[in-house]
Amino acid sequence: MRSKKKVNMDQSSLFLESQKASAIHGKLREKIYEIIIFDWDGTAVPDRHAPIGALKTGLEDLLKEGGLCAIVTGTNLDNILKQGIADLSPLAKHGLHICTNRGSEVFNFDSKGQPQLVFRRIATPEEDRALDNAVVELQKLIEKEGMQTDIVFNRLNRRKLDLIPVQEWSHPKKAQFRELLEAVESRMALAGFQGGISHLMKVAEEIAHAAGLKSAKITSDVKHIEIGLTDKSDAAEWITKSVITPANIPHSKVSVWGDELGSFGSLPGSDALMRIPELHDASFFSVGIEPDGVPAWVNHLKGGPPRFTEFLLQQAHLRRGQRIGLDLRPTEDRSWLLEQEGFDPSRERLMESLFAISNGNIGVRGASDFPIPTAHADLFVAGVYDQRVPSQPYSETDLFDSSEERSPESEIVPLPFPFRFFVKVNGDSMEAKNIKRLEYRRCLDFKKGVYFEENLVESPQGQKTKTTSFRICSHADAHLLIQKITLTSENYSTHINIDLSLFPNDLAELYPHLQVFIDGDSKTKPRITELQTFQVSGSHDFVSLASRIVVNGRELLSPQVSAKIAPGETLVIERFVSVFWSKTSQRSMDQAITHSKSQPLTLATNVAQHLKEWEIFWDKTDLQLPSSPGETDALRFNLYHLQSSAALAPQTSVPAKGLTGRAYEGHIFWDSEIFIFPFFLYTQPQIARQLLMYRYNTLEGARKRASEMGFLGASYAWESTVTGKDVTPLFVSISGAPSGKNETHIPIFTGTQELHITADIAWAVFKYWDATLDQDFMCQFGVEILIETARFWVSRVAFYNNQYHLKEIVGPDEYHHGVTDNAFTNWMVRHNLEVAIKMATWLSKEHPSYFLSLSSRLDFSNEEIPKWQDVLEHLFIPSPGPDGVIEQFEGFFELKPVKLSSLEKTRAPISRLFNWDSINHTRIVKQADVLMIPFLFPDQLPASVIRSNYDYYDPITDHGSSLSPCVYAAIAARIGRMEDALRYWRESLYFDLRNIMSNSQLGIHAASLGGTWQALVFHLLGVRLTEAGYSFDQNALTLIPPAWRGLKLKLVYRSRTYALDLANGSSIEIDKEAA
Amino acid sequence: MNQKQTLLVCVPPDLKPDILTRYILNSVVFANQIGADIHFLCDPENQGTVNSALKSFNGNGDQTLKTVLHQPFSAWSSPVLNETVERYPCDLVVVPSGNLKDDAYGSQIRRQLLEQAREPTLIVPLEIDFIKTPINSILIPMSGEIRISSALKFGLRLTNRIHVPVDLLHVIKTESPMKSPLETMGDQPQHEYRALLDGVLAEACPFSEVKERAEVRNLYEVQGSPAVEILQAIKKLPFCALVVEWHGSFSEGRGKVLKNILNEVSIPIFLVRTEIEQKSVLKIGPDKLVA
Repeated sequence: MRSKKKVNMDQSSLFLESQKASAIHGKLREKIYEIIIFDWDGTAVPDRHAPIGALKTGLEDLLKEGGLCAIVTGTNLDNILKQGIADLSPLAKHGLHICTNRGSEVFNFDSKGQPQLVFRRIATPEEDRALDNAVVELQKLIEKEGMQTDIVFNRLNRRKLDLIPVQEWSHPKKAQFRELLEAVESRMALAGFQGGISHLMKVAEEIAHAAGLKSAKITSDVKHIEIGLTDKSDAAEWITKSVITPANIPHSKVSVWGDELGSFGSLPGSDALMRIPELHDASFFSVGIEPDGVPAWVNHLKGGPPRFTEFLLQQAHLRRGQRIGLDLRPTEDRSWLLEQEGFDPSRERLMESLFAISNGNIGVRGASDFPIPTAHADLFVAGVYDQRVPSQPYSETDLFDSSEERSPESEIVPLPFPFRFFVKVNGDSMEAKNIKRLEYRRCLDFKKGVYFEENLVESPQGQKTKTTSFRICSHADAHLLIQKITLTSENYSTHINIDLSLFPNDLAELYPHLQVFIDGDSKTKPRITELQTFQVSGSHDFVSLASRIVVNGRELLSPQVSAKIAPGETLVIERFVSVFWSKTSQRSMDQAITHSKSQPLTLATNVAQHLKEWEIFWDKTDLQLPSSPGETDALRFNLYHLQSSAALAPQTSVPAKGLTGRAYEGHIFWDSEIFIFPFFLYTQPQIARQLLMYRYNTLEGARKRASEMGFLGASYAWESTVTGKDVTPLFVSISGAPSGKNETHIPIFTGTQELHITADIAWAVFKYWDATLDQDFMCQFGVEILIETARFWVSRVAFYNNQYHLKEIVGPDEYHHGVTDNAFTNWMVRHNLEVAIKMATWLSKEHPSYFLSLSSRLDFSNEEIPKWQDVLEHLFIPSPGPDGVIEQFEGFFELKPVKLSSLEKTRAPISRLFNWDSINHTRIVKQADVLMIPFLFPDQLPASVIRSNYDYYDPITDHGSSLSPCVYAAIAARIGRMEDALRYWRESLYFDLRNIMSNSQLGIHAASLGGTWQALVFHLLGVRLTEAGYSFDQNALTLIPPAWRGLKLKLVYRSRTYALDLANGSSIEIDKEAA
Repeated sequence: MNQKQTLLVCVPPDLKPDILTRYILNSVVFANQIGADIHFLCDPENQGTVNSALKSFNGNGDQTLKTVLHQPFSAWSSPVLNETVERYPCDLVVVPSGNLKDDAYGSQIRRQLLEQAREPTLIVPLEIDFIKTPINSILIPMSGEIRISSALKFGLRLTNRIHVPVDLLHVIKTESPMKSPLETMGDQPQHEYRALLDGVLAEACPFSEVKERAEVRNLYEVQGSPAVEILQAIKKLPFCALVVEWHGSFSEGRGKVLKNILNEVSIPIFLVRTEIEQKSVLKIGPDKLVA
């Protein structure tokens, strides 16, 4: 029947069905049901033995959020508890009722989570006898015709007659019911019973009546005919009378779930019994197959228990959103907050960086709700770049050399502020430059990942307006921005106009990369509030922003609001912005519109899902120093921005500033692998994998670069965007140098000489392998990176004096260029070759098919390996001298010594830049260089050598990079210089919060955030993770500040999660399965 | 600055007639350039000279120069002078240049006018002729600290009126700690240097528009003594006008530097009072003040 129905369905009916399904799904996403009554077997669980992991989570979450649930089942309480319900928390169980034994019993739970019986239908002795008699009578009637049956007596208030007591059908599954029905009715037909099971049920009813049971309940699960005193309707009645009515729950807020709401053959659906007259206004949903369809009052969702579980989770999100989303406030515990009180326009760009929100795919700087004219109130979309545009105010155009080939992906593209709102009160513009801010407060809540702002502003005419708002860059949806604004008149009664358009009036001036794309082909306007598409002029990317806005509960069809408002009256604006980009306009628009339309227009759902993601994140990563609250708070700030930089960015890696600023043009450096990657590797390895996938995806660009330089293999770009092409500027020009010259032209060597990034990426690949043993990654991607990078080094080295050398190099210390044998670079190259040999050999042995395929593709064979081995063995590695010091590069010790003043630390004077050539001949080091070796390989140099190098390089390093203090903190800790270690570590910890280098206004220092975490975990605490588990450096533990001794953190290693507790120097392994 | 401006031109009693005439003409030329009305504050005995000078001015035919003459309440002395100046609200007080060092009557009047005027002040040089050598650029010394610069704000608005480029001069004191973004090279100067300059402008003049900031032609970074370096820069930029921010006293800080400059050069100098800054507090956690 079903197939016939499907065939006959024309396009319009298909459309209608699709519309209906969409409407049901939409309703489910938005509506909160006060109570959920559901069948157990087939609806909540596939069978009585299945694990209930996700269901348990859904129930736990929903019940804790105040939802009510009632399980209606034919089985007994013990079976339900054993299947997993017993493990729910006492708090969750508080809202749960279990109606067992076909409506004969009801249980709830006491405050300790212990079940207590609240109702039981107790049969009289006469009723018990009548049940026995009736079932025996029915059996006799059937067996008289030669059909064997079995009676099940030991059920509360009912007796079961097994119509097919054969081994094959001893425990039929629901999916087999069609066959079971055929088998039973075939047996009955053979015995001469006509009319099937439904007829037999009528016979049973007559027999029961004759036995004295005036209101016997006759049911069947196909295998059995059951004669009982109760059925599921009794459960529904009890719930209605004892739960729904006393709680004044409208029946429209009751939902009933089953898998057998439609009839089956001639049998009525067993779950349809729950549709008692009192619940006719309730919503009924079926997740069953329902082969014969469902009545009109049933919403047929299909999908079985997973669909039901999804519903529970949605309801939990909705409730959480209702609880906190609609009245979302900053976390009460202020240790999770960064707060600014009072408005200081001259510090606004710094605040925009610190208060930025991002999910790795999209990011928005934390500009005020009323942005000042100099604000960089930018939206960034990961992967959207453009050529450098020769116009102010922000493009780094002075770096553009007309002879340079213009890369269309050189500079990240700032897009207009997506949270823009422009208010006019009685015609007077409330722009930042016109208003007086009487009160101002902004707050970044790390725990929730939410930006809050409060303003009390006064217009020149004295009209006072109060606004409170929050913004979210969703961590549950990579494309979604959420905003809520509450605007209240304090002292005026007049017309107010609000322009919420995503199109800024100053597009050409502030966003010269963009042109507005007008969709000339579109015939119909999408039914959303606004769609804006911008075309990026050089890269020809399209970015579409679709906005839906609800004001005081009504959805807008245009982004303009006009209303009359009186003192104390409030406008509540909720905005949902979907952000997509593509190489084609149609695709970006389609994606944005589809996404926007699919959004439930309630803050509750979206906010709740976002908050849940942050809850999960902090559960995995929160690193508390219980006795050092200030440092805990700063650590949380750092981890907030780290997570925001990469949580949902499947296509790209982390730019130097994350998505918090225009500076560094959104370029991706070694910061990503060496400083940021380890945090994700040991907390969320799936994100670490994504970061490495970016390098795999740009491998072709790296090959091209190596080839252009005249070498083999792949050489990664020092500064990279989307293709792998190197986009490092070639020079910087500065007006008015101290020398008196009007123009200073300073060459930049990093793009052509800072090559260690290639080996850094190989280091990260192997580190990932060590921590995850992810064979899939290594086979498909990792080994290829290692082979190609090894090939590059083997062709890049020069052989003389019986050794291989690397010339024309810039190491991490960028004050020196054109050097030979930079110690760190050579060390990394050796490691690159080692792991390439190791993993290529592994692949050929363990996964020969992958190896063959890769070899063919790369024209690679094991015959290359001896050459690698030769370079590996004969590569010059600077050794410690008699004093233990490793020379940073050839001739470094002969350079002119310079005494650094303490004022120059982390604030390298501008003269370093002007005098770039003479600095090249002095012994001043920009950042940790040799010391990067023990930072990355903490156990490979003797402590005495590390100490000698620390003592030598510390006084001559000016820490002109944010990457340096964290490394020095780590190394100082390694050699027991705890005072130095803590000083450097705190400098790194507060690097952005205190604007240590006076440049955080350009964006946060993502690498410093990661380096701070690494320095703490692997160096100050000395944590080591190996196959055997974890260990602490006991010596380090004796040196850490007493305030840190209660530190707790979690780390993941090889699919195991360790919860480390410093208080007792122990850890426990947790959640092995989940990890 | 799009609104009509008003200049209050103070005519001290000690100017010789030929000097007075040049001063009046220079003031009128400038007022005409920015499209301002002029109120003159002068003694009755000088009003004839002022009127003659006005008649001799062959102004821009497109503009109507509105002039009003006022008389000081009594003698050119404080506090009466102060009250007189305050009586005529204006956007710019104009004062003739001259020696500020001695105790001569004229010097005292100039000092008092400059120190007491709450509005920006233009010191008009008596040695040059604005008709022959009009202002062709604006030079603004910047401290480079993170603070609002009234001088930059004024300078950018002025350039909107007179359409000349702005040059910034940042003097790095050799002995000072490097607090300013302009004094440090940052991490990757190829990415940071210009961005930091843009940032400093945004900090110094946060409510300026893009097109206003685009008038900045050069930032000159020099190392040494502020007074010496400013004088050096002025020599290299003939016909510039200098915009200097100060607290209203010649005896402290920038006032001392300014006094040196005033006595050494003959260029128009705009003095702008330091604005009271808006303050904010940044906190992390319950009680940790970050900045």
